[in-house]
Amino acid sequence: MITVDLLDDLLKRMQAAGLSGLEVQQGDTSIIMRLGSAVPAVASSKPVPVRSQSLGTFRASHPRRPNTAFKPGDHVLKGTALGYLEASGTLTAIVAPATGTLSEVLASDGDLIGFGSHVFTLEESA
Amino acid sequence: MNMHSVPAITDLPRFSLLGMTAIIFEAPGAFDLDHQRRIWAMADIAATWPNVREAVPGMTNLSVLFHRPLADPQDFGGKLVELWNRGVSKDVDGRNIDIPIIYGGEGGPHLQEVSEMTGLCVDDVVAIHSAPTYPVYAVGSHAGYCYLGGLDQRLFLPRRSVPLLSIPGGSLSIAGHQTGVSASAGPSGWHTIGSAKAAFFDPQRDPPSLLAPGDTIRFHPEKVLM
Amino acid sequence: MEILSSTPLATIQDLGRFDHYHDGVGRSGAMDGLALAIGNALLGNDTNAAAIEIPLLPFKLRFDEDLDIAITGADCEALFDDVPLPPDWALSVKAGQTLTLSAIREGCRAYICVVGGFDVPEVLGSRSTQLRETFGGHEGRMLKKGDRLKALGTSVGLPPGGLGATPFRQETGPVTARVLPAAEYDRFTAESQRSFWTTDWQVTPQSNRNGYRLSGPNLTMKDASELRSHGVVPGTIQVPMGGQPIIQLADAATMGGYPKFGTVIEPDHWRLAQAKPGTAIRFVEVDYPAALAAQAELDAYIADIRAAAGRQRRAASGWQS
Repeated sequence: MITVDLLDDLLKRMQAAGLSGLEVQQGDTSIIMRLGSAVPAVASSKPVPVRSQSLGTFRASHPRRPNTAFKPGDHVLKGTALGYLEASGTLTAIVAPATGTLSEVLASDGDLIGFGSHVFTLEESA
Repeated sequence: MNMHSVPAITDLPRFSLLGMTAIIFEAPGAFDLDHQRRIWAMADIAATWPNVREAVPGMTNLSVLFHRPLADPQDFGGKLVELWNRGVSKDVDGRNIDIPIIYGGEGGPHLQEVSEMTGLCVDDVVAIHSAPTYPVYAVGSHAGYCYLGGLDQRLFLPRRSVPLLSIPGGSLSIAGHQTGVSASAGPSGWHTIGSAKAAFFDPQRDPPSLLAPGDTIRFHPEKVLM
Repeated sequence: MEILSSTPLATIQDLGRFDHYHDGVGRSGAMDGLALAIGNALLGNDTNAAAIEIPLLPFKLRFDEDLDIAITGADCEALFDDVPLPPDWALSVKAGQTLTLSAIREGCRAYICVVGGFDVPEVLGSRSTQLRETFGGHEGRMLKKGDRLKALGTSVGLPPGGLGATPFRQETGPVTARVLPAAEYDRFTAESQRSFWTTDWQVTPQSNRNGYRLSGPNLTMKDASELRSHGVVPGTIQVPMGGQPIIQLADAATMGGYPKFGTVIEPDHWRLAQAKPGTAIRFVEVDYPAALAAQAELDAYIADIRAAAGRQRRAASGWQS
């Protein structure tokens, strides 16, 4: 069982020992901790299908931000708009239901997407 | 460019577009109260026309502002010319307001300069400036500001070459053939010769502007500071 | 909501204060009327609902009630708590959450719209801030840290994940502004007329809500004579003695005396509003029918968003109930 207290404790020990990285295994859970880097601590992951909650034409990038489409491997925060569905002047978003790493992009720009379609897959960060 | 005289006289009434929601009508002839009275009359009438938001007198000209772009601005301009040619005049029995002025000092930093530029002594500048009863020709520029007619020719001066970034509200200034008191703080290219305490504009008052076209102002020298 | 940080010049603005030109009260109002219209359309607001106009970033606020809001105008880094937001976006926020607008990617004025518009008193028919005369908006002044503001509404039922608008038109290159020639156009030399239409005019740092001072070749008149003071409206391009044009904008004086070269047509004011100092502006001459067509095109774009956003909100409310 990994708790916030345990992570705090590990962090303090790493700082005291001057370590920049640490890997801890406990049962089938492993923790990698790195200091001074943006790499998130990956404890475990599970694939989460991200489904459309609206319908329209798929836009991988916001039309005001061309070439900013998310791609597999991108780390995203819960609530982030991963893609857009355009319908007669409005856009709705396909939103990350959790924080994690994008593993699949299943739609292409211009595709017609219906309600409930599986558009992205996300490896949720625990 | 002659800044010392009254602006050029146009021969014919004319109108021009100011974007899609305004037209300016310019009266021909002299810059005087008779012509201005015809502009006031036009403003009253044009304000009742369909799609007219406001008809606002300028200095022998009229700005007509619309709710929606006009379908045919030429047709509308023609109607304004026709209205001018009818020669209707508005004789306003306006209010006369006395405004106490402290000439010179901190609130009138250019009084001395004006004296030098005009070749008049300071007392004469004050006497000449405070002698007339000034008719309010138009209200505009900033809220509550009055464009006054009737400045004595001896005080006609070009604008300052370097405008001031801000003069306080209540500043009494002259430039060209005009004089006026600023109603709020703002930039100015005019010569500031005095200051007043009057509240020319109050958004909570109805009407919010102290003065309207046709009213008159007399400046009453309260003090002259060197 | 409470403003946690603000730079100077953020103000409350609606469409503007009309009907008081005869008192010398200028229009004021949102510089980018299109951004205001998009925000209000996404939220189903009255077209005149008041928003916050933010010309400089960063700007941060914390919500103290559940509320639907929209961010429009300049495309900036907008963080809702930690989550990045798309441009021209409406979303539901909860009490305690924060919104931070920082680095601008494109444009120069961002708008925060709320359901019902901001609850500030209507003065002389408008909620816009009249900066010179210090009335309207929030206490007649620019917003500052610690100010508390309220919306007139709360929720309109947005789709999960929020609701956005497709942009009016994607353009590259210099900002183009269409111009109707004004009263003194014919009194400029042929050479000045030519250079006016062919120059990439630079927006100088002396540019604000009052107007933009432009830099380029000097424009000269065939016969310079003083004009009698006359009405000036937002969009009027004046040419003072020095020959460098000024475009009068939202907080312009209601009257002026400089010669008028032309007027930027109303449906292009939003392009000026988003042109920051250093931007190049190219003027394109139009006739009156072309100006009407441009206005109709913009009006139709906004009407489409308003109608489609209404359908999206109704669908969202249906799914939630």
